[in-house]
Amino acid sequence: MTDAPCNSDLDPQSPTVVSSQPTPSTNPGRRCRWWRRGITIAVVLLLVLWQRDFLCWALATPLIRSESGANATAILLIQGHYPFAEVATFLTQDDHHRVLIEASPQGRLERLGIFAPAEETGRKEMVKLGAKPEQIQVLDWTGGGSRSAAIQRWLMDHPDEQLLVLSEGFSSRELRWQMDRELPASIARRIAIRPSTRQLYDASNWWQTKRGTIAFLRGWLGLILPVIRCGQQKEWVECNPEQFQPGPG
Amino acid sequence: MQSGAVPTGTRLSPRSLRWRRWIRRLVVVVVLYALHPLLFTMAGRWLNVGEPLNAPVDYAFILGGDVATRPFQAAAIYRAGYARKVLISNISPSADAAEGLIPTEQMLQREILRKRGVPDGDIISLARTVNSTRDEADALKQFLDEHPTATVAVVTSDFHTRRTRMIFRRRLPQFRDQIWFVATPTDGFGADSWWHFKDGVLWYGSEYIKLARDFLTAG
Repeated sequence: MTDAPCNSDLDPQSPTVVSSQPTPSTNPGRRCRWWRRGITIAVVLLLVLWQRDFLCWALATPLIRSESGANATAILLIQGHYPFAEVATFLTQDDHHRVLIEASPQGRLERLGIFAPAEETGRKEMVKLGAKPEQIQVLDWTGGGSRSAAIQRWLMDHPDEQLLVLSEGFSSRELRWQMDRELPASIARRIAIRPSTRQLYDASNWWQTKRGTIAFLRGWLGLILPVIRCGQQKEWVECNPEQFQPGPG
Repeated sequence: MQSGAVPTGTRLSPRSLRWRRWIRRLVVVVVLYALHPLLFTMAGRWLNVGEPLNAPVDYAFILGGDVATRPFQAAAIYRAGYARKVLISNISPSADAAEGLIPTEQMLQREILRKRGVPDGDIISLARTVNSTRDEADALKQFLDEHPTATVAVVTSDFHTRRTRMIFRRRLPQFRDQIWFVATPTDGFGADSWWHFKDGVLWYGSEYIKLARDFLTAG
C-alpha cells in the first residue's frame, strides 16, 4: 500500500469522485483525518481541564446582573430566597425604607397548612431581626397574574419609590430580562436587580456544590427556554389528587 | 469504452459535495425538529418503569426529593389498604432547613402523611441519614436485613423509577422479588411536556446524566 499524504482528500483543485463502490475504511486519507480530529479533541480537552476554573467562572458571569440600587427605598424578597439579614441592614438605614414580601399563589402544601406561607415566614423573620411592622408590606399576587404585574401595580401606586430586588445570583440576569420584557420602560427603570450576599456559592466556585450547579443550570435554562419557546409557555398545572392511584391501573 | 475500464461514478466538484453535505445536515435538523415532541415524549416515558401494585405490601417507602407529591402517593397506597406501614428516610437537611427557616423534608413527609390519614404509629423513620438514592437503597437494605420477609413498594417520581430500580436491584439483589416501584406523577409537567419547563429540563436531563453515571459506576 502506498502512503497517501494526509491532506490528499482536501485538495480543492482535484475533482472528487463519488464512487459507487464502498470506500475501504482503511483509506489512509480518512485515517489521517480521524487522527487529526482525535488530536484536536485531546488538545481541547486538556485546555479545558487546565483552565477549568476560569471557564466555569466565564460561563457563570453572564448570568449575574448586579445593579447598585443605591436610590432604592424598598426591597423585594423573592419567594424561596431568604436574605433576611441583608434586608434588616437596609431597613435600619432609614425608617422610611421598607421590605416587600412576595405572596404568590399557594401550592398544595400551603393550602393543606403543612408549609407556612412564605409571607408569614418572611414577616416573622423580619420582625425577629428588628423590622418595624409598618416597614413590612406584602406584594400579593395570590389571586393570579404574575410577579411583574404585581410589581407594576405597586410601583404605580407608589410613584416615589425605587425598588431593589434581591435575587439568587444566577437568576438575576433572567429577572432583569423578564422585567424589561414585561414592564413598560418607565417602570422597569425604577427597579434594580442585585444578587443577595446570602449565598453558599458564586461564579468562582459554583461547580463545587450540588446547589451551585443546579442554580447555574437553572440560570441558563431561564435565559434559553423563553427564546426557544418563542413566548409559547405551557401552563404549570398541579397534579389532581385523583392522579395519586394506589392500585392496579 | 475500452475493455476492462469500469465506470466508478459521477464526478462532483468539492463545492457541490460540500453543498450536498450541508443540505443533508439541514434535512436531519428539520426532521429532528419536527419529531422533537415525539422523541422527547419517548425519552420521558422510557424513564418510567413504575408498576401498579396488584397485591398489598408490608411497607410503602417514600424516597426523598419531591415532597409535594411522593408522600401523597404513599398515603393513597396506605389508605387503600395496599401497604400496612409507611417508611420515611432521614434526609440530610438543606441549608435553609439547617438554619431553621423551613422544616426538614422528613418533618414535612411525616406531617403530610398525618394529614392524609396515616397514624403516627404506622410511620417508621429509618435511622440512617441519606443524601442520595444510593444511600436510600442502603438504608432500606439495613431495614430489610432486620425484616427479611417484608415486601416494599418504593414510591418515587415517575421519571426517577428507572434509575431507582437499577440502583435498588444492584444494591439489594437478595430482595429483588420483594420490592416494587410505584411511579408518582410530578406537578406541572410529565413525560409529554417536560421540555417546556425549566424544572422539567433540569430533572429529566439530570436524570439521564445520573442514569449514565450510576450505570457506569455500578449504582
